[in-house]
Amino acid sequence: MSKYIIRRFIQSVFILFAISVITFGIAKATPGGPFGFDDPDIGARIPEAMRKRYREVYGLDQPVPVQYLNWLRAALQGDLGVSYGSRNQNVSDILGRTWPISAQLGLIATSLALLFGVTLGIIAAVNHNTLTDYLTMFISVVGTTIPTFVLAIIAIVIFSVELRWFPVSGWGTPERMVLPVFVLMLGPMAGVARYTRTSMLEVINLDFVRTAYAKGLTRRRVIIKHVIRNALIPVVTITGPILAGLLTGSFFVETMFSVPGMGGAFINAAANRDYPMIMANTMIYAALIVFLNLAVDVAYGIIDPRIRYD
Amino acid sequence: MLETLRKRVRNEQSAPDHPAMRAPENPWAKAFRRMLKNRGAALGLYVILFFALIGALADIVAPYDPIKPNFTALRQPPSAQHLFGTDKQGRDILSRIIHGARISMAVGFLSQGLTIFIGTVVGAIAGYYGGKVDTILMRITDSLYAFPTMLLLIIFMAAFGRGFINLLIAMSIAAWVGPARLVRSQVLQLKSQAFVEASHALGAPARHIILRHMLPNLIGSLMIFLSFGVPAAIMAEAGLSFLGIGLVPPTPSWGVMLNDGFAVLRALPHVVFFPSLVIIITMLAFMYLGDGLRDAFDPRSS
Repeated sequence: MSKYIIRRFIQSVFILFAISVITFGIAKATPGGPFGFDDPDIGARIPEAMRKRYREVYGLDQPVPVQYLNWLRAALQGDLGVSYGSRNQNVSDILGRTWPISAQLGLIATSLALLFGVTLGIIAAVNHNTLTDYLTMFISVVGTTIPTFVLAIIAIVIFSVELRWFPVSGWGTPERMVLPVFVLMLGPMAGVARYTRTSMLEVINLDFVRTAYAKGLTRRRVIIKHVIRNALIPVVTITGPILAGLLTGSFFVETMFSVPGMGGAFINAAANRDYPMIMANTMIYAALIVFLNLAVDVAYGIIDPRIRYD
Repeated sequence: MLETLRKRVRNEQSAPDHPAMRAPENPWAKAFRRMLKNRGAALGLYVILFFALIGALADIVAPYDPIKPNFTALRQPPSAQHLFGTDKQGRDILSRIIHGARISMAVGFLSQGLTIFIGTVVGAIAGYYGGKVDTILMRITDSLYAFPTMLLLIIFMAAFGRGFINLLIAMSIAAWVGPARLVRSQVLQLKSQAFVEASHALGAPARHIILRHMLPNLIGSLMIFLSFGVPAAIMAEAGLSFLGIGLVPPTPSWGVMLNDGFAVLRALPHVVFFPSLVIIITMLAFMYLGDGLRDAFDPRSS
């Protein structure tokens, strides 16, 4: 097991390295450069001396591989550079401000998605082929097929414009948090519900469940003690895709509800070609996903002793 | 004598009308028929065909110009003249949605066609040749696979700028990993099957084996991939355009329309309502079609 973890860890670090090279490569391949100097319209109006100074200050006069190594060395020491967008701010400072907000939003949404998703999945499976089942699956279909940005529009129109229950923008007070969390959670919740239901239905027909009934246990006890416990094991594996979904969702949710978090800042950085911000955000997102996937796989091996890693 | 013999032969030729004697039905036609029996899948297919049709005929079907502002019809609610109303610049929403169908379908099918092409080539090479080629190609796919698609799309669009061609390229670069892994694993399985080994023993070149023996066996799973990839691409286009880093306004894309409409959500709710509605309908149609395809092509899965 520990051998497996070490090997996977080294692999993860390699993947992160590859992602940083890909992102840096894309950023440097940009036509026009970060300040648009090569652009015939903008570039011509900037004096050569100023361009040279800009390139020197931001280290852009070096060859690309050297620039990459400089970035890597600084980043490993915790210096993520200066934002191109707001030039008197360090990327680390911006992240220090935006990260806690996104983490809060993400954690609340993940917990609720898992809680409600598993509950709905169990309810649907226990009431298989009844109205409750169909209703739950309808919610799940809606949640998995409708894009987050359309869900957000619907939620804003219903709860904010028509019913006036919640404000549309901002963060920090509970009533401001309800809509963003609700919209962000819906998709992953639907996915978890669907997966839990399938997993439950598979387990419900297995022999050991029949044995449990045969020895006289009540249906309630069989479901709680035997079915749910075994059905939830595979659900652990979809934590990875859920996380990726939440990440994508957070770009939209933070932008649309004006939540001052990382997702909104990342979209801004992307629209303004703020490369130090793009690099830093991408690496944080990638590290989060890669290491959480690793944690999920390890946890899966611990929960289910039948899984063998060699 | 000869005449009767001929007659008998003719009769015998026309005789095998027994079901067991007929040539087996084309497996594709069979799977397709199985799929159409699924009512949800059939409905999904018709909805998608409908959108594809009005998209293809957009120039004829659309009642108004989708791009030119019309200052005599600004901000109108739905009416007999403008069934879905008009936006801030007086453009007819229905016409923009019809032209948007063309863009969505083009983005969805072209990007996924390109994706599947790249993925199949890479996956087939990796799976067929194995060894070092496989290791290198799979290391690259592993790295890209860990990269969330939307993140890669945003970075790419930010770097190379908005536009239709850039979007297609970005999507294929972000998504080819999926079909590559799928094709590779299937090629690995097929490689050890008797009919492939027989062909190899007869001296058939790799190209022939891959194209004639393996590809037909891959089409089913690639179709299923397509049915999930196309709506994902349509959704990604709408999302990126909505965020302002996809297609350039005033392109009549559903995502651009959402962006226009979101800005005037309170004053003109119909501007955002209709594009949202067609996006939801399209997504549901593809989901039902995809489920139906999966059940039809891979009966084991259900």
